[in-house]
Amino acid sequence: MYKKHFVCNLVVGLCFATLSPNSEAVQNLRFNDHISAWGGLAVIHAWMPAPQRGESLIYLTIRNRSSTPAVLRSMMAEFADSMQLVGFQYVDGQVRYVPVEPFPIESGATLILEPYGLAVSVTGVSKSFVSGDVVDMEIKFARGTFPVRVTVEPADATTHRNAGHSH
Amino acid sequence: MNIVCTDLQVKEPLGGALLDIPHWSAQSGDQLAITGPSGAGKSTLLSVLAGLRMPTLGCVRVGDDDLTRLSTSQLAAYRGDVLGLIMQEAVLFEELSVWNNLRILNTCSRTPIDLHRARRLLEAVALNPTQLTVRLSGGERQRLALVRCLVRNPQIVLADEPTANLDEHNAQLVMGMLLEYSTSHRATLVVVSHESRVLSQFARIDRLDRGKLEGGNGLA
Amino acid sequence: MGWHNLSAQWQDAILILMSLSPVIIGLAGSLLFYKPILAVRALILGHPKFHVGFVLMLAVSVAIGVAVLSQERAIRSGTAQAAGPFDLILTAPGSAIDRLLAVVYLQPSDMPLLDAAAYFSVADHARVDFAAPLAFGDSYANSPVVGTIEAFVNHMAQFAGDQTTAYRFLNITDAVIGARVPLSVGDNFSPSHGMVGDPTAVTHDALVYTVAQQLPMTGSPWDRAILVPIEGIWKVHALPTGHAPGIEQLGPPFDPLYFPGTPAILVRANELWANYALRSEFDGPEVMAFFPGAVLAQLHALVADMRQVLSVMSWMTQILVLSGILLSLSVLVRVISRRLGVLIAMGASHRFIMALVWTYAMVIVLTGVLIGVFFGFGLSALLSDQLTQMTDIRISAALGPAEFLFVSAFLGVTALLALLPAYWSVPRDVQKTLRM
Repeated sequence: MYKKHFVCNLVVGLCFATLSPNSEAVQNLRFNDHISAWGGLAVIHAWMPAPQRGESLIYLTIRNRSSTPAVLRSMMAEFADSMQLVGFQYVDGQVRYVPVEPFPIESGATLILEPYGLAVSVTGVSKSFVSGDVVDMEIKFARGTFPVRVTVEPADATTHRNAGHSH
Repeated sequence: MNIVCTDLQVKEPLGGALLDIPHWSAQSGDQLAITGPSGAGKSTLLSVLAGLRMPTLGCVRVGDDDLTRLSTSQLAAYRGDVLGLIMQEAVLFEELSVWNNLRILNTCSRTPIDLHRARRLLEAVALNPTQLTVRLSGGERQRLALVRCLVRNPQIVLADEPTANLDEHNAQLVMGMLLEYSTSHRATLVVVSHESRVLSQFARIDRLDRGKLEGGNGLA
Repeated sequence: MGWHNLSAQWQDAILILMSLSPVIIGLAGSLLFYKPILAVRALILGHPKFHVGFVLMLAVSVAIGVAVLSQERAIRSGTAQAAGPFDLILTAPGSAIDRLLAVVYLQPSDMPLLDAAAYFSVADHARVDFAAPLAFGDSYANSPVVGTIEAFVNHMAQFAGDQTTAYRFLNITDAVIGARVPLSVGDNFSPSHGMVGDPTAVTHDALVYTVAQQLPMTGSPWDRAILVPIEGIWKVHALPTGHAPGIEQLGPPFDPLYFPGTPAILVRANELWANYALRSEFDGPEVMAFFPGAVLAQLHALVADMRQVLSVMSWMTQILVLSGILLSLSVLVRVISRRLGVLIAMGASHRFIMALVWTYAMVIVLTGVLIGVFFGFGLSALLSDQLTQMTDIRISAALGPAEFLFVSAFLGVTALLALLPAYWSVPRDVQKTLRM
């Protein structure tokens, strides 16, 4: 079972490495449903509430244990027309998500994208997703592209199902 | 316009007969009265001729049309374009002026009223067009109802006890105008009344009793 | 182009138009094809007192519905605006809502102090424009006295629209007062130790402040606050003044050795993204970092269900009032059935009678609703004024798309319900109706 799991991850990693159009995927990536990590930089526990009207927000944690700042460049996924880093604002009693310019995550810092804070906005989702589905996206850093598995949670979820356990 | 009723029966829901007339007719330009005791069916006959009530059996031909086969909108057109009706008690729109009580007829028929004719008729009955209807006396109200009945040049005029609540002067005026109109326009005039001052003005009087025609069988 | 690609304004406009469509189509059809206006006028003039009563009842119910809906939105907006200047707040761990109420809305509560290490880790951060300590605990009359730094005072002034005036603490006894503090420039006062309304408060007689400047209106409880140099607060409580002895400086840079602590710190980052990064960095077991806007949004979301219930109740009330009115109109129409009968006798079709009665009902309802919307404006303004007085938060209700959607949906439902009395009004036995 473990061997099969390892082989699957290796195959997926190689696929991303060789088939990704930009071919900047990192090598020797540690990659599964919960974490995508390499060289001290890790993307952990990506999740999103089930999209409503073609839109949703992806939340995750980026932990930079490397010695240099990590610059988040862009995000993409096949299931969505566009993805963008946004920040929560509450203006005149209305919830707004404003675009946020890419910025460096300092060495030793952990950036948490969570409800009522930073998030990755996802628009143009044409497929229906239900809680429990797992979808793929890519996060492009200056040092390489990380494949990330995003777990779909119920539409009214405020946290992911594995909250509380760490990697 | 000719009216012919054949095998006319009107029954109440519980079975009592209100009208049972094998044959009744009136030719264009005929002037006739219908009389009889209270409950004889006089008003019921008038309602049937006006298309306001459908007979249980039989047919009512007015010109080329059988009223019993017309739709509700065709019956409404018949009442608006062919018929003039005046009742014992004038039902008017109190809050409107005399003139607007006539103008309201424009909503009831496809043909707008002839304003000149309306003014002439009002002059003939000595009514002020701008006066509020609520201020009219009983006699004036019935004179307005008369103008409303005649303003659209109906081919058939039905009058149900038109002089019952009127003094001699107004009664003469109303009957005089009805008869004069019928003569000049060759309109069929059917008047229901039990007053001798009215009946005395008609050569043909049909008597109804318990829904049946007595004596005269309603032939022209 | 899908529905979701349309802007909110377009969506609202389309929904309002759709709701009004039965009214528009019905009135257009009735007026163009049946022209019942003269008869409608007659019906209305026939029983004026009833109709005035119906119109007033409707107007009052619509006015209340509209005013309540707009107030709820105004309260949400006003409380959010009051939190506008507070990007990121640092406090000791605890209830975020309690901290929000204490810091942003100046509702007093005991708060542990953040120590020098916490303050300097944020004040010295490369991404921080300024870190303003906020020290509560003293008051004067109904005004809380808050110790802080010049940067905070100017920040509040800019939020209130004053981009030009420089607010300065030149002396440790200088005070900058909010717009609604009942003092004037040049006045002297001594604060009391204790929150506003604390009967055990003790006056600090030794400290006499002088009002140096006054801030413009912010539309928040800070309009009743008195801002003083934090050094004075520390000094009057016999604490180190934030600077080494002999140094008469006011404001940062403070000396870590002489920094006694502060209950709250307002952090202003130099970039938008830095706010989120700073929050991630500082929120932890020793320090709580929160966005007041986020806490407020969650608080408002908690009461959203209650808002839905209120909205449903408001709708039910409207429908009940409307049903009562339509029922009464149906009865009234029976009273005038002879006139409808004589119209039929004169050639009016059944459809005309229905159009007449429907138009008559809609004229009454439309009049009531329009007057109600007008009353609603006034009632809304009155309620806003009262709420502002009570809370010190600028509540300014304005009728917006939500209220117009409510009114148009109500009219749309009315247009459909009014078909019932219209249908019932057609006399079935005209001979009997006319008493022939």
